Amino acid sequence: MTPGATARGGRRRRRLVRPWRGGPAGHVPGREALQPERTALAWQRTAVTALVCLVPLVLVALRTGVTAVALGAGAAMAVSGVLVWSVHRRLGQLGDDSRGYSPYTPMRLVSGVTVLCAVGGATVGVSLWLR
Amino acid sequence: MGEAPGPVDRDHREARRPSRVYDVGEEPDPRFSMANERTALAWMRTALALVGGGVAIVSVSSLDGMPGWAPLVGAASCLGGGALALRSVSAWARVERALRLGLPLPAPRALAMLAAGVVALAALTLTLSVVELTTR
Repeated sequence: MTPGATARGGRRRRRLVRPWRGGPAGHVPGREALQPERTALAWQRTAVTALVCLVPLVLVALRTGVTAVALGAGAAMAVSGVLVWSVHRRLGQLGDDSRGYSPYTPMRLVSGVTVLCAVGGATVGVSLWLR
Repeated sequence: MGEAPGPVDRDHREARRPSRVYDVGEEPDPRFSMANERTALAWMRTALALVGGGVAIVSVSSLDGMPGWAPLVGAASCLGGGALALRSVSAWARVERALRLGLPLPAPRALAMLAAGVVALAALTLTLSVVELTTR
């Protein structure tokens, strides 16, 4: 009998594997505990967070009439949307060490969006305070 | 994972930016590079949380009946988040360089700065709230 199956009443049942209860762990795909997937997902989370953070900024800038900030935040939202769409390529690049990928440019892009969002939020905040 | 790169791979590596990071030392274990990348992204998300919180405070302060100092607290949170985002990129570059050169990793000073900034912001908000309550 195979370790993952049991016989009961003449029928063979597949036993549920529960590694979190100390059961036998399944085969983990290579690349050392899914490091590329974890890194690609970290990129995806960061890009989505950047996109979500910009939505209230656009709304507040429109409400308070700071058009320049609303336009800048709208442009940053477009950049974030492109980033969310494009980071799925990172998965393929991470799976191939010979491609010599550098995360510097997308990281600077996310940083730029964050700084733009920060400057926009601070501008709206100070303009509200001065009113 | 640990095989020596071929000539084409070396060309790929030479084109990588920034050159101050990739022109020195040897290629580290990809797991360490990826862990460094994920750490920098976690810092970036922390910065985005600060900026998002600041924008939320600013948006709430535009409502009627809110204290006049609230937009300033939001602006301070936004600026702190922006500074942290810039620092996360430079920290990634410093750690990657240390990994390539086999040097000890730089101390995470940003953690102490973040803690001090959050505590200062919380203390400022608490103080202003108490003053607002007592003067009403």
